[in-house]
Amino acid sequence: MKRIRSAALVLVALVLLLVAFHVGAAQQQPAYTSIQGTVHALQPKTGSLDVLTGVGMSLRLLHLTAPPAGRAASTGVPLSALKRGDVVRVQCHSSGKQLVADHIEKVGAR
Amino acid sequence: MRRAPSTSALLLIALVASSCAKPVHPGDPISDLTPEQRDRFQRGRAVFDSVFTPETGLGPLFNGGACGECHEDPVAGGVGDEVEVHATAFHPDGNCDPLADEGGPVIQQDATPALKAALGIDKEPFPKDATARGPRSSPALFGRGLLDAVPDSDLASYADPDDKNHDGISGRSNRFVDGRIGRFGRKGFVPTLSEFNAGAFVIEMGITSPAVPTEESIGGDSIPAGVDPVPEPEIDQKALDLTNDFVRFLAPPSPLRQTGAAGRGVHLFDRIGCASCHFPTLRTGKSSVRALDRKRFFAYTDLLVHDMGPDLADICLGLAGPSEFRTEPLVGLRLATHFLHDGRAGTLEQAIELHGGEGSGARDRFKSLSPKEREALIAFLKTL
Repeated sequence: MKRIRSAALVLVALVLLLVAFHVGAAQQQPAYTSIQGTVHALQPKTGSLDVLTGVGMSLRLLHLTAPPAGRAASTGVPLSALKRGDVVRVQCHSSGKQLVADHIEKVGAR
Repeated sequence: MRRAPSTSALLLIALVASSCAKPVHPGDPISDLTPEQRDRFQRGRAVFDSVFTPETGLGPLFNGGACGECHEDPVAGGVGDEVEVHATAFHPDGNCDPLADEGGPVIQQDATPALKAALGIDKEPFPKDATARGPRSSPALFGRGLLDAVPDSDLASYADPDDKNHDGISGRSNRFVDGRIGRFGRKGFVPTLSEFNAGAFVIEMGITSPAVPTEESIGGDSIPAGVDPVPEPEIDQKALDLTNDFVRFLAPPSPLRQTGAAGRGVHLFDRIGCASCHFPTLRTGKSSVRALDRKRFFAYTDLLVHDMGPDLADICLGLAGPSEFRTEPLVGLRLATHFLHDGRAGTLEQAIELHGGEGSGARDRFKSLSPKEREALIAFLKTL
């Protein structure tokens, strides 16, 4: 009887640990988001991409980092294939204070 | 450019309509609203007229303390005498930089006492990289919900960017930063009314909302600590939605009776080519709001941008170059005291004579009219 109670306690502790681990993991997961805007500036060599977005006449310039030249972010287009004025859709996540582009899709040219 | 429906036919429609229906006065809601929509219109007007203070979120930079401060005459949603400042940079390669990293494109002309104390400025600094300054008067908002409900496909069908029909008028849609077709603002840059309104809350009053939860920068720099203590968002979605419904349901006022000289002016408006861009009527598409569903209404615009010549040129925005402006809707024109995008024209005659570029043909034909014919055309415009 004592052994069964100990096993149950261990099981409950394990479940609690697992729940805590999952909650922690979920909290640490970066927030993914999608933005669509105009390429304002880019530097393929350094992986720097500035995208103009906004709501109405309230416009914002978002600074993103992307994989260096020659490497496409995920399966999207590489920075070297983009130019200023292109309209892009970017899947990205925040890492610290930076926005990191995970997937870049060219939607159109302006 | 596709031909606009004849104004003569429209006069008939207007006459029939005016004899059958109650005239719509400035500030009235569009007809056919449900009781619930009329209630939202009334409650939205209260938000529109709310005066914000630094304690309720105003600023730290702003142009006015209430929507109704700039859109007030003769009623809420009407014109205002305020002129605000826009700035952008037009590059030789044709790219337009709205200078978002320097506080553009709207440069606020007032600051809260806390910002003044912190930075010693009483307005946003003018961007150092700007190539032009664009003064902008405060337009009336009547009928904007109907303009919002015109399908993009209609706008596309009006455009003739290469002037394939050789009538001297091209016209094209502007595009927002995300590529969508624009129609609101003097450069026809913003795609929808609700986005224009949400943007206006923050750029005109410094009021953040769930749609725009971050404040404008101070010329590109961060807001000093302690200057804007009200937590974001400063209004909730409910207040934003009510304001949208007030503006969306504001009706275009009925034209005044077009008899005598004004009646002759209707035909002249068509004959000299004004109606080639100022399309007298447009039609909304399908809408879940019955009052906006497939309605033909007086608009006097094609919602496209046109080259208006170098004398009117100022800023670029989106695809619109410095000399391109969206055709101004002329509904409620009789209420305005200054004309054109920056209010530089004190009379309608001056406004017409300042038309250049694609508007120069109509301008020249106006100038060649007899004095009586010119009077008739102006008399017609003063009925709108």
